[in-house]
Amino acid sequence: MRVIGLSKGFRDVLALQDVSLDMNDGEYVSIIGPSGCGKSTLLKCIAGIIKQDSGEIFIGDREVTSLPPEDRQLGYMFQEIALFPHMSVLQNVGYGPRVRGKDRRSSREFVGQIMEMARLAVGSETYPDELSGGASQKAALARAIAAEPELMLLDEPLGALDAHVRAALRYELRRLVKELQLTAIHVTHDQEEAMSISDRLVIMKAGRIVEVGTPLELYLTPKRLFTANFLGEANFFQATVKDCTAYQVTASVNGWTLNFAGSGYASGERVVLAARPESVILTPADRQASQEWIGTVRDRMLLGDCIRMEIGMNNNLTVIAQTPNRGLLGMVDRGETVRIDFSVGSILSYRWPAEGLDAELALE
Amino acid sequence: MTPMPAVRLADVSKSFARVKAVDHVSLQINNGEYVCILGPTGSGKTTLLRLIAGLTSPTDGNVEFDNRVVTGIRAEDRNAVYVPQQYALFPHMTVRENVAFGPLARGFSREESLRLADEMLSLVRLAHRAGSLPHELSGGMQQRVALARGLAGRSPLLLLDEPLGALDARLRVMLRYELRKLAKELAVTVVHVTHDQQEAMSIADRIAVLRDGRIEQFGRSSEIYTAPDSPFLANFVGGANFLEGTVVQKGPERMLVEVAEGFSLAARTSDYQVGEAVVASFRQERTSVLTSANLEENVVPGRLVSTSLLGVFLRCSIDLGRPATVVAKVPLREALDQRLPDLIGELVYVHAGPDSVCVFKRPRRALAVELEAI
Repeated sequence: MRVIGLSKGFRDVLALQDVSLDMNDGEYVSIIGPSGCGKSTLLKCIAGIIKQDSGEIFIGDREVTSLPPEDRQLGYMFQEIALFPHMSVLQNVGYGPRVRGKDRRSSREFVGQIMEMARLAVGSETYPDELSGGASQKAALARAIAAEPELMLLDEPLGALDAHVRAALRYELRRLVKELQLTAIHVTHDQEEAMSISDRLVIMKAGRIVEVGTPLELYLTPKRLFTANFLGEANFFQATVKDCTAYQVTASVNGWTLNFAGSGYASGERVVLAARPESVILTPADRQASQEWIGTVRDRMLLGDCIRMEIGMNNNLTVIAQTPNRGLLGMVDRGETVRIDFSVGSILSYRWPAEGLDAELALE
Repeated sequence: MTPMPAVRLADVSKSFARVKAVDHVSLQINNGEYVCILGPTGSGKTTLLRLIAGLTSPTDGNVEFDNRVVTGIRAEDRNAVYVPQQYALFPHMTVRENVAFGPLARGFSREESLRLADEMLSLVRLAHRAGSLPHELSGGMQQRVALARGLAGRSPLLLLDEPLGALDARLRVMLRYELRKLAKELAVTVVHVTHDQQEAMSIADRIAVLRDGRIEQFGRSSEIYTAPDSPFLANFVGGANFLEGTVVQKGPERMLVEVAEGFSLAARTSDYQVGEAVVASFRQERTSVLTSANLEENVVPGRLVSTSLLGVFLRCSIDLGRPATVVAKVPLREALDQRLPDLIGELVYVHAGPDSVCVFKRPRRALAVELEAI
């Protein structure tokens, strides 16, 4: 799939501004961004449901820019369950193959295979209204897949589900797409969902692509401040560079000194530093200690797989620390004085954003 | 000091036609407490909240506020504010007027109502949008306006139905901490309904887990997490691995459960008998992936099927063959040091220490049904 210079405006809003994107065969790509960033519009342009103002769209080596949706050979799955209520689940899944001219017998066999792959066991007389939310979404996916699309478009396909069902089903979704060697574009507002199942992520904001990369690249070394904030939590510090060598930067953060790996900054330059909560290392500190990077644990919460702590630093910064839950035994507790360090190589640094920090980080 | 009960449900049931939506629920929520009612879709959690609000009356049992029975009292005469999931803002009123409506409806003067509205709007960080109309705001902002309207009435009891439901995931995570902070600052008692266990754990003092209209467990989130009463709870609150097995050895404070031919897990309990059918369970973040069986105990071999990034953790899925698939959440840096993403398809060993293994009686129903796996 290839999109070149796609733009689309709605009245006074530019929903897409010169968006270009290349996808490989068999790739699973997720498009994520805050609501209103243009991710659904992009998907709908690829589907042919919305007509773009300018730009070109290719699927395989066919240009489909001006083709109607039905001629684009796409599978489409929405958040709203779109099974035909008057047909049994099996008839629903068999709809695509029948429309495409498969005979009864081979169509039935094919549907059987798809149902098995989807791990969806239903009787021949089961109707959509008898399925749970999770099973309905599986059936909708099975139906979309059974039409043997060249490209699967998934628009918040898990959006209507309970959190725990949603989290379990996303792995099934990826497994199915990969087993059938389909190419898929998945639109979601859920970062964890996108990171956990995609080969690559496309981050969008205000109608533009901010950054494209593998989940690991974008999580560990985001090039843009917006990405660092959008993909997982981070502590942000405003800092001033005091000294910068070829590989190390010394900066001042609210009067405290911090060294981190980096280069290319001018002395006196304003920068923004980001540190993931899991890279914050806490050690108990002497109450009388008057060194830098000392603070008090204001709150400690068990989140389940992690323990989260909020630390009020002595220079008025607030730092969030998160550690994998290996039991509360021996963990620092509320009210304790701690020293914080950051794990090696975990500090990300950014030039001061031209539009200001708040605008760069804004999620709505 | 004994905590003052703000709300007490005494053996409350509610039936709709033949369906028991709420089934003999007894619950006490203390003054100033933040309680989450957590359950899957259809577990009766919204009905329970509406019973507290007085928007529906119980078929059986009583609702008490501050030790007074309020069962027959209308919603508007109860000293509580209910914020429904489908919050309805007045489309022709500005954000400020919408929020001021909360205190106005509770008898505050117009001037005082507007002052309270401004205060709440800055707390939910929407002071700069006070003059906007609802349709000019994003869904997330609208939800915060509804929340501000609920808070502005200065009611001691706030009943919230999925208050963060309309928000994008990232905003949802950010706002849950703010919501807790806000509730604590205003010293209100909150009952908050959600299907999101992570949200419940990060916000609540105590959690009531609801299933089929009944309370499965009510306790501090750390209690439910570390000592769940059932496999369902272990799975629903936090997720876990489950391996069916048989007790093969028993000593004081220690038991051995065989989970695959020739492989056993030791657990620090002696509640079961040799030969008893049980389920051994261990949390995903307490599960490690080893590349060689260099430990003598609690190691089960399997094949690494896939790895996926969750952020703090790398999620590793390991196929143990017949027994099951096990998931290990390995801290990302450790997982990368171990080069786990490069080991897909290879033989690895799953390990969970005896302290991390919980043992449950084997449920009568099939395990997958008991866990409500999809």
